[in-house]
Amino acid sequence: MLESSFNKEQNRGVLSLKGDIMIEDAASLKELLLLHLGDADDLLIHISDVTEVHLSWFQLICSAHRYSTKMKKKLSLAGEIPENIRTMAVKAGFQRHKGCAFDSCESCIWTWSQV
Amino acid sequence: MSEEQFKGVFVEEALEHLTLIENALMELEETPDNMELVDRAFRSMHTLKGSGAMFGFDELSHFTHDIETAYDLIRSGKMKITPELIDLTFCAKDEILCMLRVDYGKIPEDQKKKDEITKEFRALIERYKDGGNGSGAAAKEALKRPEEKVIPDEKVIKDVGAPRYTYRIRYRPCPSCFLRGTNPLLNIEELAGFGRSSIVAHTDAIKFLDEYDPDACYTYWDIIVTTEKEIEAIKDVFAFEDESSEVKIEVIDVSGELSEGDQYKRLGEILLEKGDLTQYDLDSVLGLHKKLGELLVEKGVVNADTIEAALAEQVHVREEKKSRLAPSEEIATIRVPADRLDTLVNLIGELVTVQAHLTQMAVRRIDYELLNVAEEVERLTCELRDNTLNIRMLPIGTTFDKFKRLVRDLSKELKKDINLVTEGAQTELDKTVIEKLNDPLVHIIRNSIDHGVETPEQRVKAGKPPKGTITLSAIHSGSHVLIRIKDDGKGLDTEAIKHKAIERGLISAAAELSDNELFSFIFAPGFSTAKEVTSVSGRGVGMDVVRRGIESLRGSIGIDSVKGAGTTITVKLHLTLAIIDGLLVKVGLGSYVVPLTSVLECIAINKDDVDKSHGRALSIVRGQIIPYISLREHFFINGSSPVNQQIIICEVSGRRVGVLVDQVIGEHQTVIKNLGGIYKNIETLSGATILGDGSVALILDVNRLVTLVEGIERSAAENLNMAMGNATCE
Repeated sequence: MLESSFNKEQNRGVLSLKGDIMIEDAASLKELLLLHLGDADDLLIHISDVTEVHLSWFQLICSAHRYSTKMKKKLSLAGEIPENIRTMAVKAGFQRHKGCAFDSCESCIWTWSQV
Repeated sequence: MSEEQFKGVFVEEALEHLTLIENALMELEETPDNMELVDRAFRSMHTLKGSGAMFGFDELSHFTHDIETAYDLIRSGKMKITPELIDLTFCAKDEILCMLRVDYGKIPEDQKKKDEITKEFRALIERYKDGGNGSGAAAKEALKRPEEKVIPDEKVIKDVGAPRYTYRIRYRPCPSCFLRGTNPLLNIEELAGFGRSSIVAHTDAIKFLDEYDPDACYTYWDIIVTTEKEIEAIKDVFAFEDESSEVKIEVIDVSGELSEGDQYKRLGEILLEKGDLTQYDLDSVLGLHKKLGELLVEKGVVNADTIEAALAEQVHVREEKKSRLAPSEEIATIRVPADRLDTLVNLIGELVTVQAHLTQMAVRRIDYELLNVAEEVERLTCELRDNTLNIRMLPIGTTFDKFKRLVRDLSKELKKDINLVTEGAQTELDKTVIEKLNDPLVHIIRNSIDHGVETPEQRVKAGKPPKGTITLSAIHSGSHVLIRIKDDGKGLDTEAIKHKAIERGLISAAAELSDNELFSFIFAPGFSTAKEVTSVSGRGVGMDVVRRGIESLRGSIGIDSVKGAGTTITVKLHLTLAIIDGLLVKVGLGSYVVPLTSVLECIAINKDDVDKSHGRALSIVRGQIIPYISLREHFFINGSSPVNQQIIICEVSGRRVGVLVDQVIGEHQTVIKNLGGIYKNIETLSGATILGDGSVALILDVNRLVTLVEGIERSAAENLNMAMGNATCE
């Protein structure tokens, strides 16, 4: 079950996620991301308290990051990424040397240097 | 094999690993982010540590452990390569080299230096083992390279005997798979469990957040997996996949195929094969000069994920091929002690002599059947000889590589910026020649760096780029090899050389000499125009020794220089010392061989001409006075000389000197034999050979012969002067 909290300081927002994020949570997480990206120019997503994610979470974050770049905003992961999520990112082949064509400011979440 | 022999084998292999480490460090200085180089250095250190312990080199093993640990931190992203770390590793490598020699009692141990290096490495390890300063470091450490994380140890395929297949799988799950409760990651994990795998997720189809369907699967994958499993096992993974999913499985590499080697398809070929690129797009992009992947993405022909996947495949299969290549390389080469090769060469030499004898006999007896056999024996003997001599041939690149470190260290010491370029590293030379060439080349390069190439400031003032270049090249030229050392420094100052030569009484002030003649003074003992003696050079000792070293290899050395532009030194050497091309001559009943490298021409001289010179061994050839040495007189050969004799005019240290003989038989290629311990002090002979009729011919060392005779004549003249001086006083 997705748990979240949001804090905002000036134009920077911190969206903290907690617990398991499964496929059934994808829709509500999408709405949360849209909402907060509309509100803040710089959105940090804290996932250190996330215990498990579904594969769809990776493509949702990718989608959100591309959207933020299109809107000339910033989106990044913050805090310590849980070990199991890191492992899953690699196993699912999301890790990159370079960002995709949408990554105009080299802020791709999946490059080694980003986190 | 005795313990000493085992140790000897370890030392040889350790030296090779140290060379690998040094080369990797040199390259890391230029490209510090190159993890492949770090891996290379790490693997060599790991091997040194393990093998050292196994063969009783415990100190070495313990010492290497800390260096290995430090480089492991770099591999894991916790530490970075810095110039200081590279310098420290160079020191450590030198220390390991000392340890190898200490164990053989060659030099005393320097425990203090070892301890200092160990302390510095341990300090680095302590500082960076947890990821450095701690802020985000653990997170930074997290996302390691995919190929490292994806390979669980137990899945590494160890059995090199069974065939291994590399599959390329394009897996595009049905977009509604999430709604059906299917998780594509399970299939991917199952495939990864089959063996070494590389996985790239394609995200190009993922929509922007405002258009994103949270239940849809937009991602598709390219998976490269190497396994012993047959293709059916791969297909079975997708047995329950929806019909609307796309799964394409291809075999892209099989172990044991004819196309072995570590090369794999280029990026463009992979993209064409996968259908991600058309030939037209490839051709139009290749017309530009950036990397193909960058260009394709820039032009929007393919997306970055597609390039990533193709690159992952390329790297994966290349590594797979390389890993298969390594075991067969061990089988394809075998270590042989050098003295066994020498014995083999000797025996071949004997065989050549016997074969020549057989041929002579067959000709004398006019026995056609025997002649046929003799011809066949000659053919086989020549082939055997050539093959055996080839075994001793090594690429000169091994020597060239050592100089990179020399140039690096010396440039730093003299605050110069110099790049060493090598060409023709694959040029092969006899092992002995390469070994003996090392010291002369070291000296020539040191001279180039110290006196040739200017400092960056001086170079900029002279309109040159601040970085100097020294080019070391080797090229075959017939039966010789030409080694050139060329620098773009300030060149030789002919005026300074002339001035010095006059000062030393080598020439008169009025002498008119060509540049080449002036350059030859560089090789005179004690000759130096250096304004100061440095720790590197300047004493005037080196070039004399260099020339003698080259001449001892029956080679020659020449200089070409342009003031302000640079200097080129050319060393001409025989490919092998085991065989000599010579001129066979006779004096009395004895036969001699004059090395062809020294010979310029032969002229006839008769008794009357000899008498006309009134005891002075001089001949006039085309208006030039040529002194000559009579071999009959030098070797005290009894009997009278023939009416017509021959003078063989040779080039010795830039001068023309003749050798007077009874008869010139002709050119003769022969295997050289050492004279043995009893004759080792006879300087004028460099060896002997056995002729076809079984007789022995002595091989002349023309340079030393001339030096000896000149020395005798000088002493005689001095004695005469002294005697005359005494007589006058009386």
